[in-house]
Amino acid sequence: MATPFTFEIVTPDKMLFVSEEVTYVGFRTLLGGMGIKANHLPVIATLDVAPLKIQLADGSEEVFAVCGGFLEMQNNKCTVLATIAEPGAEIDAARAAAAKERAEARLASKNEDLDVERAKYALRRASMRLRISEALGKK
Amino acid sequence: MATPREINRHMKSVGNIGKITKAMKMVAAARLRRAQEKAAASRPYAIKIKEVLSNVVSDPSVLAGLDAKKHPLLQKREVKKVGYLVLCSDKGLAGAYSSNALKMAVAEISECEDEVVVITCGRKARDFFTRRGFNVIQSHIGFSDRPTYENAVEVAQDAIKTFANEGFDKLNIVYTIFKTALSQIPTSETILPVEPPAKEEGKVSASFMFEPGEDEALKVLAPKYLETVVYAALVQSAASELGSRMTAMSSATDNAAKLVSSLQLSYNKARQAGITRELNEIVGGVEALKQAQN
Repeated sequence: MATPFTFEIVTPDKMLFVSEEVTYVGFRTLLGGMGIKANHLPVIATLDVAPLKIQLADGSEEVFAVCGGFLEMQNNKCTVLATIAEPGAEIDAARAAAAKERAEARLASKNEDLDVERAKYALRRASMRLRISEALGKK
Repeated sequence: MATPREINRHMKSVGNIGKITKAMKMVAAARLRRAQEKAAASRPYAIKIKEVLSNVVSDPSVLAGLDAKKHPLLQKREVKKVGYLVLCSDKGLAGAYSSNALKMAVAEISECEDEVVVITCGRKARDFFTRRGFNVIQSHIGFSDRPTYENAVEVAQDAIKTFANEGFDKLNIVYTIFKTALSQIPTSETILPVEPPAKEEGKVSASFMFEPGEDEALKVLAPKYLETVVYAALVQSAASELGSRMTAMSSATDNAAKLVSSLQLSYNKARQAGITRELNEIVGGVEALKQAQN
């Protein structure tokens, strides 16, 4: 059985998630996918807008929507710092779909004042949320 | 001397004002509690991000090896223009809160020898600086007593853009630290260029592996750090504003009650004086009638 370690997700508003029974964390950095188990080397990873998956000691899994941020692993303590993050179960699929449409419309509008970066970022956030909620819905 | 009727009217209006200020006090107290909870909830994130930043820059060679152009936020340049970010309230009736923050800002600005530009948060600050002819380059309003993290991001991103376009070479923030409901302290700090927090002494950190690299990490971290600093300042200022409003409204309620009781006294006196006068008149009239009959 895998060794458990401490894992927490911190957002500016609250501690989103704390558990000492996490055995695996899977996430995506700006370079690509990565996974962490107990006794990993100290690492600071810059996260991409992507789902973050954790496995708990009792075998269950949880998914979080993380919109960029950092992950720090040190002395078997893993901390995720994210400005926007939410548990997969709390995702509002309808809202995400609406946001996706809005972002796509903005990108297609070819408006000169358009903040392309921002619209793209919004689009990525929305489609990530949709992917997660679809995946959860299938189960 | 005012007639009893006038005094009565005055008393009623003062009593009504007292009721309003009492309601405002209770609203401020309830929201102050929420603001304090919010301040407490935001602390772990702020502490952690500071820690990560100091971990990234703890190795002096990391800082030295950085390409200055890639990290404009950390870049110290010759200071020609200084920006002041002043946090103030949107609404009045908060005692001396706004004027204390503004006084602090004006004192700082008058000492500054370089060209000054001002960014304001809160309607009071905007009105104050525009009226006095300062160069206000950005103003944010509408969230002084309930800031969200998104508001901080907005303020920080605008500031970063202006800094990158050389709108100013240094940015100071003037905000109010919340101590207690009775004491709030206006403070000023430099927030741009970002000064990486010093490593706590005696704390030996492991050497970190960076994924992707420290360069990318720092690129994302520096603005994030600025956002949290701004957010902390916004939250502190909001708590100060509410605390100050609560105290101001509480003393206004007390004053109204005092005024009502002194008005009650003069009302009673005036009423009694009226009765005595009427009695005198009646007695005098009776006496006069008696004499006329004799």
